[in-house]
Amino acid sequence: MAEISLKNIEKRYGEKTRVVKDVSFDVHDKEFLVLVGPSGCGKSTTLRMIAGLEDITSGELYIDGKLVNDLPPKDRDIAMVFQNYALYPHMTVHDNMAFGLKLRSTPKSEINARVRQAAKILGLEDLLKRRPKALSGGQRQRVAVGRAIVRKPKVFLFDEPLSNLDAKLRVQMRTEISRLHNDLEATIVYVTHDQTEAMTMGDRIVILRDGNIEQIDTPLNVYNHPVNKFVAGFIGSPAMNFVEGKVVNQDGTYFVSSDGLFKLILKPNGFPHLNQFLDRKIILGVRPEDIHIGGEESNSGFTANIDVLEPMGNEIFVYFKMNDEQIVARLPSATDAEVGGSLNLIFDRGKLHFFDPESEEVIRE
Amino acid sequence: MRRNKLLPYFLVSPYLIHFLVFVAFPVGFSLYLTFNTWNIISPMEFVGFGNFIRVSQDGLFFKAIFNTIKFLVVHIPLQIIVALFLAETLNQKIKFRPFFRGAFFLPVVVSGVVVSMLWQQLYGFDTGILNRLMSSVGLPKVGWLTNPDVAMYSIAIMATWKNVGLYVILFLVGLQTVPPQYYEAADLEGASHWQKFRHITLPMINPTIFMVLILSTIGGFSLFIEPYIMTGGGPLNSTLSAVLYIYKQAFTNYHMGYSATLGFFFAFIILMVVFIQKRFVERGDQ
Ligand SMILES: Nc1ncnc2c1ncn2[C@@H]1O[C@H](COP(=O)(O)OP(=O)(O)OP(=O)(O)O)[C@@H](O)[C@H]1O
Ligand SMILES: [Mg+2]
Repeated sequence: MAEISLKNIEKRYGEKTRVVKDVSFDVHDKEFLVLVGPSGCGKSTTLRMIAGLEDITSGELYIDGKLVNDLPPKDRDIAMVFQNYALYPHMTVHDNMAFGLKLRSTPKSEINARVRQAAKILGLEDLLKRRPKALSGGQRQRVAVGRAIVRKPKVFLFDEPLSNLDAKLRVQMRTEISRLHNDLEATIVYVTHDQTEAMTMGDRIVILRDGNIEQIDTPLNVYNHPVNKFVAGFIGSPAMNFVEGKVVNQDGTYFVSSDGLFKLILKPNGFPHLNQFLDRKIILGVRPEDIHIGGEESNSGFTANIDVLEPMGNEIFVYFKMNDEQIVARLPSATDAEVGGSLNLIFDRGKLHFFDPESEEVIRE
Repeated sequence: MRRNKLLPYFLVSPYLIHFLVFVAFPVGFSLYLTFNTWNIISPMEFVGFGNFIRVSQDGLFFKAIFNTIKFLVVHIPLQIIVALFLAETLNQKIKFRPFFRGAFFLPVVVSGVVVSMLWQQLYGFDTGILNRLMSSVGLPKVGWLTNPDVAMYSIAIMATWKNVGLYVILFLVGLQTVPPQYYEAADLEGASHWQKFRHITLPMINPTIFMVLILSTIGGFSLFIEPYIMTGGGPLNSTLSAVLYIYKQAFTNYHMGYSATLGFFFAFIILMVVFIQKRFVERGDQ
């Protein structure tokens, strides 16, 4: 059992600098929770407050129902994997992993058994006698994880553990950490600024911006139902496209882009919730994969003049402009397109998102 | 063209002149002296290896070396332990940290003569503040500088006080190179203050410890001002350091040739010690 609960957690440096503002969320037992957000939004600070490495300015932190605000890190039964791994350079891999157990005067036979078991899980058996200096980045990362798991703590905290690895290794370690989560049935809080990691690994995602929580939900819900423009733009790669425009009534309700060149019929097919925005500014959001080939002018299809093409092999990214802003569409690689040419495209009307330009909140149905 | 060829020599000439006058000539001249006797006034007299034979039979010189070693045995460990303790303390978030850092460094820049005279007062048998404190709590007075068994250790303590600031600075630099994540990781693992110091700090600043060891060895071997001012080498030659003995041979007894020979001999001993330490350090590095 390990549940963490943050209630109105705030972190201030001095009087003015509030880096975490009123953050509340729960981590359920055995859950893999991901904290994601742009650089400097307070992810590490939040994680370090959970670990006890950083004082909590105000609010309450509970672990298994117990208030732990003033409990020193060692009594919280938490293990943390640091971004730069923080392996002790003067100790062998074995000693690095055994360090915490030794401090707790665990019997030697037990230490060795646990280290060997962790080494087996992580494929480190042949490296136990090496020093960290003689390991590759991926191996070091595994040792750091090994050091965390030998102690069998209640909670694991990860602070961007994969950001120092190359792309391929990152994908591999991603699945390894997910597997480890299943095998250990551990409660994990995982910090990253990489939305792919958040989407693929998390049971739930907490999206932070400037010390505030923007949304907490499962990856799919966050992806399909972002609550505001920031979340919509942050989750998903390539990012969601935004088109500024107006809702107008001319023999039916239309969305018209600011430059007037793009027109999308809204009625009679629904969107009653947009009525309040009649003749007002609105932001349309559409994901690159929700733009398709085909469609006639009458049915809100449009002609895109291609600026840039990015063939990815299995698909192709097509860039064009609306309102002088870059829009990207994700099309099948067989698409017949060339730079300078044009394509007939259409937005998938079932997958549109609309945002209030003032609050940037999503307009709910 | 000619001017261009001479200009570089002209530019380095201050160093060359300094080197020739204050390094090359004295070394060469002393080397020459080792084969002669000379009392400055009368002409030199060639004695071959006479001076060297005399060194090997000079009990007082070996006593002086022994005294110096006695000094080092107390001075070096004391210096390292005290400096490390102070550096570790000054590396914490304590109040008035800049003030304390400055305060501990102050004795280093104060003249050794001044410090020695100050401590001479502190160590005074009847009027010294140390003994007055001792008697006020009912302890017997100690002959800090008058008891032959104690005097050298008193000087070692004083020298530590004087030099420790320098090594505190060196250790502080060493401590600040230890990445804070190591301590944070250890905090989470449940390490106590002492365990962190023992298992992380000490191994991480190993190179600094060795540097301090070598610097304080060389510094300690050249012990001179303190006994010269405070005891003049007494009582019973118990604080006669090697360098002080060499000085006395030259400028009290005017045995210039013999003093030069002692100087070379002693330099050779220091060289050997540092050489051994260096081998030791290099082995520790692997
Ligand atoms: N000691 C400090 N004093 C003042 N501000 C600080 C201090 N430590 C961190 N901050 C600020 O707090 C904010 C959040 O920092 P934090 O390390 O939590 O960001 P992060 O979300 O982990 O970013 P990254 O993805 O770059 O690691 C940053 O704007 C940072 O400048
Ligand atoms: Mg961070």
